[in-house]
Amino acid sequence: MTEEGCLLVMVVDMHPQLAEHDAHTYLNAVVAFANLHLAANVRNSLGVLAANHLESRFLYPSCDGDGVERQRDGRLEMLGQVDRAIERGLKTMAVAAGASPMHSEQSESLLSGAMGRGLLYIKRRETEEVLTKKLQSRLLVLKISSDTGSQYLTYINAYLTAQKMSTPVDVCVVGGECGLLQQGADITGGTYHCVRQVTELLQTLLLMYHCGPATRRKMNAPPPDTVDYRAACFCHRTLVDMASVCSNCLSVYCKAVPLCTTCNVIFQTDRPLVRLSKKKK
Amino acid sequence: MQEEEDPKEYRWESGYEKTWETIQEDESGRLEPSVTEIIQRTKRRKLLDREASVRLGIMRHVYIILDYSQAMTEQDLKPTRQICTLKILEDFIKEFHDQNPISQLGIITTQNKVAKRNSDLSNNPQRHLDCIKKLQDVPCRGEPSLQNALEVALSSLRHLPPHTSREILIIYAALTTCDPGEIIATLQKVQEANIRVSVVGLAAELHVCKDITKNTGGSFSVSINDLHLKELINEHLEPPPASTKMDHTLIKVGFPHQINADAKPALCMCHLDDLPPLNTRGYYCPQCTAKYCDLPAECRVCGLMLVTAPHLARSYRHLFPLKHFNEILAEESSAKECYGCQKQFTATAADKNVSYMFLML
Repeated sequence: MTEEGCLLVMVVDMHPQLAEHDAHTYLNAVVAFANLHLAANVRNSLGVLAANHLESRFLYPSCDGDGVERQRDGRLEMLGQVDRAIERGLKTMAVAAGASPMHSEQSESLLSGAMGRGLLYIKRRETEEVLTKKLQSRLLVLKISSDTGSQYLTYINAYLTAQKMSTPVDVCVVGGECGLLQQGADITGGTYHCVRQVTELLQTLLLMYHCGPATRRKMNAPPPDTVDYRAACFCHRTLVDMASVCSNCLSVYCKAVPLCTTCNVIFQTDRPLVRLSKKKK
Repeated sequence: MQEEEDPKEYRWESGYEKTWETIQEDESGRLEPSVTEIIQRTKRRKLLDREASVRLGIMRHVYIILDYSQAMTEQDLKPTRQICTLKILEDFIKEFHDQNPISQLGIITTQNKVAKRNSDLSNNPQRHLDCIKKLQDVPCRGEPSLQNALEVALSSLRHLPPHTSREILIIYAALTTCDPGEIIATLQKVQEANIRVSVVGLAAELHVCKDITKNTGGSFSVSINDLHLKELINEHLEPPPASTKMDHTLIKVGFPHQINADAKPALCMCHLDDLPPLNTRGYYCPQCTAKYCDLPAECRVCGLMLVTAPHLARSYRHLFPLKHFNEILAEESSAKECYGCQKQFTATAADKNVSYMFLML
């Protein structure tokens, strides 16, 4: 069955923590999946972004574009071009990252910024679309680094934007679970999966993430796990079931505090003020 | 259209503005780019006016007062003012609940010199949408009564806790009002109750409406056509600046969880009237474990407000707005393409060689 063409934007995590897993297998899986997407339907298009702890960068389409070269090694020219663009971009990124020393607190990749740029690219392609039909698009995020929760606001902004644009955000996490990205996939209608080893990555990508949103409905996937939508309180950063919320700035507190730390507003409480006993002379 | 603030000059005394000169053709002879640029410039100016340090009333309780008098059958908005307004309100209700998840909405109509509450304050958009659908069959008759409508809204807004932002949005098409008493007395009560009244007029500017809105800190505008009416009504989607008399408290909320694995089938509390078949999907209130299909909701059993973290996060864009962008010409900047979407800045692009970084939220 011929589907409408789909624009896939991949956001690839290139944090130096990748060295703990097998970087070679990881990158092979990414490039193979990108090639598969382009080869599957002639109307499919691709965008690739990479993010590490310092920056995010567009790998494909690359700005310093070389013209389409003659056919090498018997493949589609575009696939070869994609491979070369990704390789070039990753090399520049790795060299730039190696030049500056890594601090211990930079354990998280700037994935939220890369997601924002990916969404902008999708929006640009949508406005440039000559035919009147809506361009189908989706975002795929691959993550290997650990989570610190410092980018919570940017992530939520990206998810709500994607929801408004009706762009599903699929997430594939290698290593440990990531609750924040799971929420994002749930909000936007994408798929979330956690892969234990990098060797399983390509198989998971091919099975679960290859087909577009329209076909996915017809596949009998197991129902998603319940997503933990609790908020973290601002004082201890622990997830709470019931909390008190400041009516001015909506900051979450696990127990009653007299003063809001974010917006410095004093709360009116119902407790009567303590009266000092009058000294009887 | 807003009247000029200066009451002394008339339009024939000062020079008239040559509005046709601002629109110019571009190289290919098309007018459209310059018109879109003017529209974008006004939007950007509006954004600049919003400062980040103003306190906003995030928890809003808004009553919409609809004028259902004879004047709404006029056909200057196609097909009639009534149908056009109801259509715009449908979209407004959906957007309102999307952007203000912890706020509540209510609908009041006034016709035949009485006012009726058609939909109580609630944060369930479906209820309001059903009410709007029923209102499409109600004919517009008689004269409206501004005082009665304000009294009805006042009676329920008065008892709300002081940390909420209370608002009334009046959509008024008539040029008269038929009141049982002094409307000044009602205005006093409205002001004391700290309610912000805004009016969107469909016909002309009325002094009484201008008075109410000025004294309560609301806005008053009269629409020119249906697009302008939609814009004016959609201005009220954003939370207004908080009044100084608003107290702030801690509101108790619960973050319900879904139990899928070992849950027992149960009735959900939101559909007690239609009784759908028992199922296990849903959210359980952390305090009383009552089941609800959809969030946000207010628990009917224990009164706890149930929201999820993304609902609270939806309001963060008002509290942490974007910084303003600077406009620079492409020749002056060193970048050859847009940082966000990789679009090349070329001389023939229709966006007039300006380089921005824009993020939509």
